[in-house]
Amino acid sequence: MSKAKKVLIIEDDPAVARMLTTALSQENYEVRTAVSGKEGIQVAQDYRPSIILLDLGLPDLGGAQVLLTLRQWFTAPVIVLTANDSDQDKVAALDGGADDYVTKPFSVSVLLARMRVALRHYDKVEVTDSYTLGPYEIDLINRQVKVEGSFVKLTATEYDILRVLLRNYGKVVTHRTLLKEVWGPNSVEHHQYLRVYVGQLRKKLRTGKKSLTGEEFIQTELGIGYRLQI
Amino acid sequence: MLKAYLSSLVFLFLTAFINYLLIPYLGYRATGFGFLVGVLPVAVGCGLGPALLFATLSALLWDYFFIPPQFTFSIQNSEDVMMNLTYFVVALVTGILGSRIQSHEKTLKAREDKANRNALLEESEKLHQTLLNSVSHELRTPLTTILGIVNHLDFVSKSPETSLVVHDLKVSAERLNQTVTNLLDMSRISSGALRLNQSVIDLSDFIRTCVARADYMLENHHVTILDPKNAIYVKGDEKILETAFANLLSNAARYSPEGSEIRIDLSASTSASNEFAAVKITNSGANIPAGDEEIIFGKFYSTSGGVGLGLGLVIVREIVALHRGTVSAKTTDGFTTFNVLLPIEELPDQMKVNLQVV
Repeated sequence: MSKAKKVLIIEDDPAVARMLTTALSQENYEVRTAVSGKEGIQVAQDYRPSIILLDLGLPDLGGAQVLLTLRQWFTAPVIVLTANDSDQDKVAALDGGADDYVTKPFSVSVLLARMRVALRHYDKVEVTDSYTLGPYEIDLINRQVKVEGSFVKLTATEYDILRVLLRNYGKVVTHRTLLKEVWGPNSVEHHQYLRVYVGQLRKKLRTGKKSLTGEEFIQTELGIGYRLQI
Repeated sequence: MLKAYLSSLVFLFLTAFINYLLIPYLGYRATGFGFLVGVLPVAVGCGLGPALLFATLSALLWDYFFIPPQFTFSIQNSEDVMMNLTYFVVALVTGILGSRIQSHEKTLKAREDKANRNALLEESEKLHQTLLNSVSHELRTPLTTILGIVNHLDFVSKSPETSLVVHDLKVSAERLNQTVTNLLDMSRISSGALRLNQSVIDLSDFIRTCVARADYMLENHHVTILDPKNAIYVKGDEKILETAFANLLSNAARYSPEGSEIRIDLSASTSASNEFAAVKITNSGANIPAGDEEIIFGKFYSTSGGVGLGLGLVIVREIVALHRGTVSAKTTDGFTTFNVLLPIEELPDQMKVNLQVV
């Protein structure tokens, strides 16, 4: 067992903070908490956590403001917690440097999974050229994709979308990031049709089995973006 | 319009009368200035037409009643002819310029009104959003704790009795969460503060996303999706539309026997010469009482012994209406079908090319 990972929870609600502390301690995380944005930023400087859980609804500073300040020097993962239905804040947080998000009320096991993915991405930037994921075999060098052993022909755009999602395996990729990575910075005109392209890609990735469909491989984060995961 | 002309006439006769009384003191020539002064308020107050009427009639009146020989249109003095003509031209120009000022002012005022209204609307939208966000935060934060602890207890509880109680707690908390979600959805939709974040959606892909997301509700049913012959696209807000279909899928699962089939039939249909994308969700059982096909979409309708506030279908209808579509329900031969119609979105040719395999 490697040394325990340090988590900082910046959350103003004491009950949520305590519940998370209990759950995370059980998973062998070392936990510290802060109840405001200012305190959170301060504690982060002394404590040097491996990962931060940041509530977006803090009383003193907006979550976005805290994130902005943290990101000036803090490079490890930040996962935002939000009770807000509107996606603007989530998208702004993700585009502003958060690694992932969960919406309250969230399941603790989902949060733990998101934390593991974020930490894994941060620990080692995986530079693999071929992936085998369930029924999918993807070869990034030869630009080949196999579903259940047989080749599937993808357009250049579909292939690029798949590649970007694959590089961020398990992490949410916002519409904006995807557009920028696939079509370059001037990609506004594709925004309208992004879902159409992804729909087409998923259609090609559908399997015969009922156990896994293209929709479950490339998951839709409604109003936010996509997440590739098995 | 008529009122403007009438006021112009009334004002003209009033001015003429006063001028007429002033002739002995000012002489007939100076009274011309009296008429000239009258043109401006008419133009500014009543607009171009009434001002031109005033200018023309006043020139004639002046000539007829004031300029010697009085009570004829003929004029003795050539100087007076020049004056009358000059008066007429100056009055016309004054009328035109004055009416321009008026119309310009009107535009400015209309623009200001609109700006004010928009600012007000935006303000109330923002206020509503802030209120909803804080209500959402206040309701969901305690639910996060409850559900988190319940799941933890569920995981560690050993005795059968405790796990039963914990299970009840979990189901109740989840139901509460669903109610909170429905209430917040409803209030957001009915507030008018809802802005659709529209994009083009591949219907068959989107329905699969909805089904995948509703997985936990559908695990005791077989879901079959029948795709359309050709891909169908609609324009909409994916997140809001998903709320509508999640409600329909949850109903289909709740009101049909475990293990039965839920069929989702996607097709293009033409109604009233418009092309619609049709999503038909059919489940067995749960007959809608004949005559209730409309009422079920009303607020607080709930079947006897049903759970929930009866907001689910209201939300569905409102969301579909926001997307310029319709939803209807029917029971035949023990099968209940909800039919959602949404306007079809045509892809531009460039997109069709882009989607071809290279």
